[in-house]
Amino acid sequence: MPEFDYDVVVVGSGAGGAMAAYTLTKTGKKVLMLEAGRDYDPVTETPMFKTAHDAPLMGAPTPDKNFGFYDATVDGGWQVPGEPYTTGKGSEFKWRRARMLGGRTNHWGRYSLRFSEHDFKGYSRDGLGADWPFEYADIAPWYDKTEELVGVCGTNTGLDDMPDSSPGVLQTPPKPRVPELLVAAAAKKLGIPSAPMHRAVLTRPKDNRSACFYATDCGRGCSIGAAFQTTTSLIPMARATGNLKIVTDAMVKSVDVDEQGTVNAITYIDRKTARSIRLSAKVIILAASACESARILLNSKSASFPDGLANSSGQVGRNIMDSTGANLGADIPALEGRPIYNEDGHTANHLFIPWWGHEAQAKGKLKFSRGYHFELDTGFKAPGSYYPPKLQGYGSEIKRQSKQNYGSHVGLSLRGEMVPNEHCYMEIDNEVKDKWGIPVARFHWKWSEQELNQIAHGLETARDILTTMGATITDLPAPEDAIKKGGEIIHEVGTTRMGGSPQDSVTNQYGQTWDCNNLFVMDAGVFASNPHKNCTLTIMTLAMRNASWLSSELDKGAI
Amino acid sequence: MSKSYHIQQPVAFTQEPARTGLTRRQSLMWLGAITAGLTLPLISGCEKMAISAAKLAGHWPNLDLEPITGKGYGTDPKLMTPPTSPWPLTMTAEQRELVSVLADILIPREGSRPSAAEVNVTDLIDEWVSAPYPSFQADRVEILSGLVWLDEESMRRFDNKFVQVSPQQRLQIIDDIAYEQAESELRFAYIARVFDGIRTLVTIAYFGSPEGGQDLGYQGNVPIAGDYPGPTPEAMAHLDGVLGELGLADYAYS
Repeated sequence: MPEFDYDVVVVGSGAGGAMAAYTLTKTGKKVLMLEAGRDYDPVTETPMFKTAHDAPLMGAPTPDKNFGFYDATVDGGWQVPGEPYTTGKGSEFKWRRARMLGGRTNHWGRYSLRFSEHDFKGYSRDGLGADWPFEYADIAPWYDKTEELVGVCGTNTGLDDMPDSSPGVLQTPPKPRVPELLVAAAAKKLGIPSAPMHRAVLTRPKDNRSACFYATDCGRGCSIGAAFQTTTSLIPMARATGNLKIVTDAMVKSVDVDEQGTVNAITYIDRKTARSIRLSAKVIILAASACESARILLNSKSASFPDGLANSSGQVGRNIMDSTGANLGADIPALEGRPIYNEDGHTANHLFIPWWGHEAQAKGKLKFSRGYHFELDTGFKAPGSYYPPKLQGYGSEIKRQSKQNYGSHVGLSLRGEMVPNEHCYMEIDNEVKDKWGIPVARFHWKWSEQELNQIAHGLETARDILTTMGATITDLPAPEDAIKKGGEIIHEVGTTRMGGSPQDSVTNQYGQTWDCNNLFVMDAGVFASNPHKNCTLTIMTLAMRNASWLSSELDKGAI
Repeated sequence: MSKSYHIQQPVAFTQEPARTGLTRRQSLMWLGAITAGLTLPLISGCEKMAISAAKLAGHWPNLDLEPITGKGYGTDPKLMTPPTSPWPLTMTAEQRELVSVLADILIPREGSRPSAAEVNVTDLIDEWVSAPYPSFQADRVEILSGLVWLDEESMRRFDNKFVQVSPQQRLQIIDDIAYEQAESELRFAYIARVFDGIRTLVTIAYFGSPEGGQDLGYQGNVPIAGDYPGPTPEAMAHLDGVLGELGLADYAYS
């Protein structure tokens, strides 16, 4: 490697790592970024406008590409070749990973909802899980800065589940579409609000990025930079400072300490040569994803830290939370044969249903303590992703049935907050190593009554909304059958949680580990709880705030 | 008195299409009224027995196929230039001919609209059954068995293979298996489910072709300059009508 005198090593180039690197390089710090996957450029690699017809198997999901042929994920999905994970007896957990610059920001849903004071103080309210070690007011300005930088479309609704952004921060959201408007009316009759979804998609140009042109599924990535991903925004911007150097195909194995137990180096495997490389480091930020960062810490054992680095609390790998998930859908007779127009929009929700039950929960009327929202699955879908209904007969008759049904299906997808529990955790499986010789993660998982009761409530509510729209639904699945597997919603957080005390948390409110003052975590591992609102905006907001704090500490010579 | 059994959907599209979406099949499974079950008069026992009984009564060929063991397209295929032949096609000329005949019964040419076979649905079916992935291999057994069933049924009835008999004779067989009542008749119950899977696949493949997409009426996948225009006045007028019919006019979103 050519001489590059870096101040900070950042592990990972996704939401947390790229924001940390951007923030540090902008304040003049030299950053060396290690990314486990290959280099990736959305400008030249995104299959914009390509149709299902052009893809193998009409683009259908396969074990090689779990979310379909065109999904942006490189060398990953539910499995990464040569890099297994295991589960404990009786546990099911799915761990989604990518091996590419920008990580999972290249294909995420871009839903970007703020957490609220209510979300940050769950423990104080109901005694479950843990509080976050700050107030909403501490974070609000950083949400503003992050939304401004990332580019988020949406509106201020004044709803208690959706804290307002400062005036002028949010970009104009796109107009709602017909099935969304019907869902909104049905929900309103039941006393349930709907609101414009907040999405990290530009509706106005920004920096070198274009506004959305309302075509091509964002899950493929976005060559014009409208849908936010770090590879078209934070990473090029950080590179432009001249203060960032990126090493791809660098699979971090451990963070190393000297004889006094001070972090002073990092070891990675060069995936191209399989060589182990050790670099000295003054400050290290782990942002490899919640479970990968925890795995690195647990694998970083030394005489000073026999149970893994920064783990004096014993909390590394504990408190894993995913979002709960369940789907219910129906064909809506009133939407059959409706006038066709272009419903692609920004290819995801223009409207959604935020959580409306804070008051009912405060009054003890619900059998679960944390909220959920509904995302909507509707629209005149692209050929190939439109599935006809149960057809009868053949010939012109099945064409007629398909066309009549086209655009009439409405699905409601629940995304809810789970409460951390002692049965959900990860550890190192000492029996299994990946192809780089690194011991793998083993996951343990069990939903509690909290989540099952929430799913039951969500299914009943979804049924009520759909039947209000005229659907016929005769019976509902059992919550334990309907709930998605742990990890399946891909919002895994909490493995290195932050807190107010070194006894029960891994980091302080700035993501600085209690045990090592030059070691930080800036991915979703630091989440103290997992509000139902999708984690990425908050990962980026915390990374910006915490990297700013780190930068000022470095300036002061405090680290 | 009858009891309802559900035969597991044997063919196609049981995978999750996207993390935000529901599969069609999942949503159908939750709609008891629409879910096609196999209704058998008072046969006791489990689903497995119902399936065995249906296969036996329907002369179901139990094909013993060599597994396909090639490689898939891998975890980092070139998305800008998708592979046109990701793996070798494995159907015989005879199987392909039968699929083409079947595809054109399902979606025949209508005026300027091409038939399913004319938009190469046969290639897609061949690619599907030849794909070296487990769920596609499971579909392969069902689809190829279904083709054998059609030929054997045609031999039983007309002493000739399906593609050799007259169009009217072919439709006599198809009429027996293409409607929901076939699923409650023991001898047609299994082929009816397999036929339904093939029908779904052919329909998706037809509408997925450029010509079929036009036939469906899809308007998207075109860049829009400026703001997303939202619903057309016609679409909004229709929505207003729907809100009125459903008693939701007072709850319109604003």
